[in-house]
Amino acid sequence: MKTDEELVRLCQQRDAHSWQTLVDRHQDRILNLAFQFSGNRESARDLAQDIFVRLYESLGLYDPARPFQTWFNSLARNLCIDHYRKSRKDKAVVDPPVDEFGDLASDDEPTDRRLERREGKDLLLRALEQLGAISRDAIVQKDLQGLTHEEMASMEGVPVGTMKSRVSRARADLARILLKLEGRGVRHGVS
Amino acid sequence: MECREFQHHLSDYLGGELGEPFFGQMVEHEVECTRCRATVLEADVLPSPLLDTKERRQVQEQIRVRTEGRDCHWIELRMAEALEESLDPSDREIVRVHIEDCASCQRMRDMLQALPDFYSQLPELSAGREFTREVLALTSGPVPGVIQILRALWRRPEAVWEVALAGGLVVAILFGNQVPEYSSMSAWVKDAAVAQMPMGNQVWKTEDGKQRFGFVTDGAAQVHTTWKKVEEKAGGVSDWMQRSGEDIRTGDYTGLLDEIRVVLEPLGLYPEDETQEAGEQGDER
Repeated sequence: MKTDEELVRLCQQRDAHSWQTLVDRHQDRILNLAFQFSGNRESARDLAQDIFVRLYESLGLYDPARPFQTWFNSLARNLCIDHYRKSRKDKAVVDPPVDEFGDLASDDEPTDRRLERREGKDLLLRALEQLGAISRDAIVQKDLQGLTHEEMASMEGVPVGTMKSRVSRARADLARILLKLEGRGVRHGVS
Repeated sequence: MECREFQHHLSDYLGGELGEPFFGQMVEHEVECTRCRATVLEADVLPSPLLDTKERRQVQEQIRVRTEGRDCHWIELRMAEALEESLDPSDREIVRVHIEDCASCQRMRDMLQALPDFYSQLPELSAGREFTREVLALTSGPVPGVIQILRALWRRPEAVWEVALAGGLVVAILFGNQVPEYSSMSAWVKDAAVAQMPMGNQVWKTEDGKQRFGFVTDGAAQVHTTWKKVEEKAGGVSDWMQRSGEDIRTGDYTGLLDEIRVVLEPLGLYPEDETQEAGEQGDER
């Protein structure tokens, strides 16, 4: 099995087969990353395609001394953040994202459990939509993609401590928004 | 009332020595200020040897220093950190003291702890073949010339095997109906058929008398041996062979056609329409 770096080297020599292997290997991860940023399956699909097109166009810029995964993650993340900022700016009113195919995903699950899951998921998507781009990025990279603080800090070129604070703040923001959406807002200083 | 004033009169307050309206102001501040309320709670549970006013004040001062500036926001951040890392013991103590008496921070703690459950409800998406096709369509470059093809083969010799296998599969799919009945084939034709159609796919005869290319389970052992030989000759199985083998094994003819396409199309050898049609016939079996 060829490594990503070997595949990229072959892609740089216009090897179509290696390019397909590279796409095949990373497409699920990138599609889920795009979904975690967009909260919508159709947008996620378009965004993920844009990411691969950009990757294809940027293969010539890849520095073999750097791990491909880190480089690609950084490229994908930047595009996701741009897309998120643009979509927030475009929306005068933030429509709560709804995962319209959610019910099709688990037919064997009891209805009440499925509804509960759907409610939880929709609530989370609505809450994520209200986060700023940096906070959403922190939640997606750390809690959903499972990157370490060190990896995130290296990707963005900031100290690890800064990244830790950013993640903590993002989680607190998200929890506060979720409480608000559930009608249990936090009012500090009053028991 | 300011915290400093509250702390200054705390011992009198706890001892019931304050009169109105000062006592009322102290009560009001205690209700409003989480930090001072925590101090009161701490002071209230101090063991008896510390009931002496001087020592109590010392302890209260330590608590004040320890919790100074530690408002709810600070507590929230520590609780968020605590989701994956254990806190510094002194921070943990401050958080414990604070949330014991702060209903808002208790709700925050519960919600922070529930975040992983929320995350687990997001769907795990799978891109699928269609997505790959779309990406390849968006990124396909010009068809390479003969020199580029030869260079590519020089760099990746196993591609020769892939082209041969892909070509064999296309021939089998296109002309499967015209192949003589399997039992009447000569030995070398059978071997060639098996080599071209690994993983259990052979020419077989259907009930309506037509011969089809399809999957037969009883040929698995023979096919396995042949497949191993192909692997050895190819110098190890490639990603393409793995994917194609999986497609054949699972009967995913659409996927198989995609794999064949990626090898043959750059060479201008992929008969798109006819092969699609033949593939659909194969799926009907």
